[in-house]
Amino acid sequence: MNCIEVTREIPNYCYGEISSEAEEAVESHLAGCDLCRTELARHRKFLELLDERDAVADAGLLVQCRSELSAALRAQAATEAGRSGIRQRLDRTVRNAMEYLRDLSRVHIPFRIPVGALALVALGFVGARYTPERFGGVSATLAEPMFSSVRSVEPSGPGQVQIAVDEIRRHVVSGTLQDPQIHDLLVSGVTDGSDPAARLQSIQVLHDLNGNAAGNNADSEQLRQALLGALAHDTSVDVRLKALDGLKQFATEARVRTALVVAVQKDDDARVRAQAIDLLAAHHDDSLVGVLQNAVQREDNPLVRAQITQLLAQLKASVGTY
Amino acid sequence: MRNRELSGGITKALEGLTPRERTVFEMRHYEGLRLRAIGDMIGTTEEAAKNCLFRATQKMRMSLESFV
Repeated sequence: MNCIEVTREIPNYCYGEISSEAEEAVESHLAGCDLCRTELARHRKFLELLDERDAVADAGLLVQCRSELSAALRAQAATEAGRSGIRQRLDRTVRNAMEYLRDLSRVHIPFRIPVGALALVALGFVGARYTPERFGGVSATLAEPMFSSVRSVEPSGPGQVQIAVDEIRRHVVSGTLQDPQIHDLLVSGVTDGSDPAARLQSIQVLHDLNGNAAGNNADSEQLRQALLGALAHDTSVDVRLKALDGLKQFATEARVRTALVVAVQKDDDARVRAQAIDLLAAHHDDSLVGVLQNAVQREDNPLVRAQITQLLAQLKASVGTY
Repeated sequence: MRNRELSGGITKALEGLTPRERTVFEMRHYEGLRLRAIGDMIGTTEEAAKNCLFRATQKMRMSLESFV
């Protein structure tokens, strides 16, 4: 492993999330590299800092959460005054939750944070059922949980059991394309969407939005970053091709051209390499001939080789380097 | 005082992550879940979760550079 690869593995190494082979390679490199050892020390310091915050936050967190949640649920319960059955259930839930949180404050600190977090997740689950379906001017609805799993089961009294459940649920959010929250979600969708089709659609919508000049400079920067990320890391060829489409408008910028060169050299799909070459060739610069000469030496796809050879001929440059 | 600043800095850094990055980071760092389990939970691969964690960690470190 070289320094770049080791630097990339350090976070996973610290979390114990790498294979034994990779771990050996990292440790072997670290043994002989001062720079990477320093980087490892800095990363460990960073992780310690994150844990310091954990200890700082817990003292006030439960008190704050108690009062805010209590106020929010009571306010919501007041609006449901006509629906006595619901209100009684809600009051009972709040009362039980408050008693549980009071008990929790006596728990030894190492257990208080995760247990408190689980209690808050459970309260959030209940609270969400009685919360209006709007936030920040954007309408949203809660669907049924996408995923849930039981984390722990403990007896909590005679004939009673306490079950900690992790849930991830899907929100449906709608709004105008000019809404900053919608825009941010679209940008996240380019790189974070678990479904390639959703990533493609996010790029398409952002591309159209940018093309219509509806976005501002900050939006363009976000779009550029998201497209560069998708080109470099997305596992779907279609998404990478769509990202290249979106990058056309930025193809004269140095960092975009650098990303295009990397795609020409590293992407394992010939269509992506061919489209990246097209984009590079659309705007000549001093490095273009060198990039193409280098690419033609590495290229194993005959069609892409032919494309590069033709471009070099148009530029009156040789295929080989001397 | 430093602890309060640090706590605020960490909260701000977490808010700077995308929802997915924050979910992965918090599940891995604060809840100690394995990346494979996180990948299963959010409907993606372990490798994608690992990439997401890397991006989140980089952003967090950049945001908290002054404390390190």
